[in-house]
Amino acid sequence: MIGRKPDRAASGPDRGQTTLDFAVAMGIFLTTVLFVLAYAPTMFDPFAGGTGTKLVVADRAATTLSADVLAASTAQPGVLSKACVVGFFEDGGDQGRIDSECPAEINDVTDLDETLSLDGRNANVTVHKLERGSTSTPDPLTFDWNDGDIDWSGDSIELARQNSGSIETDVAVATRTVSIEGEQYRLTVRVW
Amino acid sequence: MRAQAHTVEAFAAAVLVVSGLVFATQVAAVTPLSASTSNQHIENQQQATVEGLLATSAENGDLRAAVVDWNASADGGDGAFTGAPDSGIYATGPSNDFGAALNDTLSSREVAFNVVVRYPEGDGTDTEPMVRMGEPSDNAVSATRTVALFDDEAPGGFYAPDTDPDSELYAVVEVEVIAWRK
Repeated sequence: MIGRKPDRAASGPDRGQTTLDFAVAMGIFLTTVLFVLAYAPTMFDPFAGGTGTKLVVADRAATTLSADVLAASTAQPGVLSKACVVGFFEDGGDQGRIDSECPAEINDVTDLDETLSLDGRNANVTVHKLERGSTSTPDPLTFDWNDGDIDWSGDSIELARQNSGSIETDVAVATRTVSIEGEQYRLTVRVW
Repeated sequence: MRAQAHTVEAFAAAVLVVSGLVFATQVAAVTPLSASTSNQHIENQQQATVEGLLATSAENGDLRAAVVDWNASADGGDGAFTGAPDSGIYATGPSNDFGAALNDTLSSREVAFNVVVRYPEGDGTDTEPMVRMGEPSDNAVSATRTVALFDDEAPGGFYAPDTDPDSELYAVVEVEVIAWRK
């Protein structure tokens, strides 16, 4: 009769500290897995952008204005037509002036939301001096157009427009360098 | 033996998981570990601003004037941009209208910039640095604009040679502005 040795693998002196080692092993492994799970999402933070779609809307609105709606020619983005600028900023947009004197063929400038496809967001468009001002909200330019070659007999207008009086919070800003009559200015679009 | 095997196995598994993460970090272009002073939106705005600056300066003639603002007798006869320091290269915006626009747009907002002029030379191109503020960072943006110069515009001893002496066209040069946050 061949007798088997008692199975001492399950217990006894040969097993050493299996339970303790297993605990340490699982501790190391679980700590690593938890660290990786916590760390991996932060890898995508730089792509997330944080403030959602406002950055894209602001950027596109600035491009639309400087290269299309207000531009003297789409071949020269940034070079603005004086007639378009007057039409756009004059008392909430003057469609008649845009239609008769401005090269851009646009349907509506009286509705800022529609012109810039804001989709219900608030926006502020300002043309101001190239150099940085002393305040975070730069003063818009005030132009007196009487001495220009456009028939404009109204008062001087302020180159700023916004579609809402609400307080700006978490603003996305896009800027372009533009020129009116050879003078360089900065066009800033703020969306919130 | 089997006891230690548990621990060794756990280490092996942990190393495997971590190396997967390290690999993913290395293959991604932008991660929290990338040295960066910028983000994509700010880079886009800088790029658009510099492009607009070049376009509007080209339109009102400032860019052309800055390119040919050359003093052939400066820098011991080698020639340099007018008013440039001894090195022949400006360390800030040149003392002309284009330089003023560069200073107002970029310097006043703590953005550094280099400007180089690229011109045809023989079969290839050569460059003439106009402004050098240092080595651009990894997050630098650049914009270029070509300017056509005619025979009557090029000053004597000009850096770019006449590409076609028979025609009125002197040379077509390319101005590149490289900007980055300090």
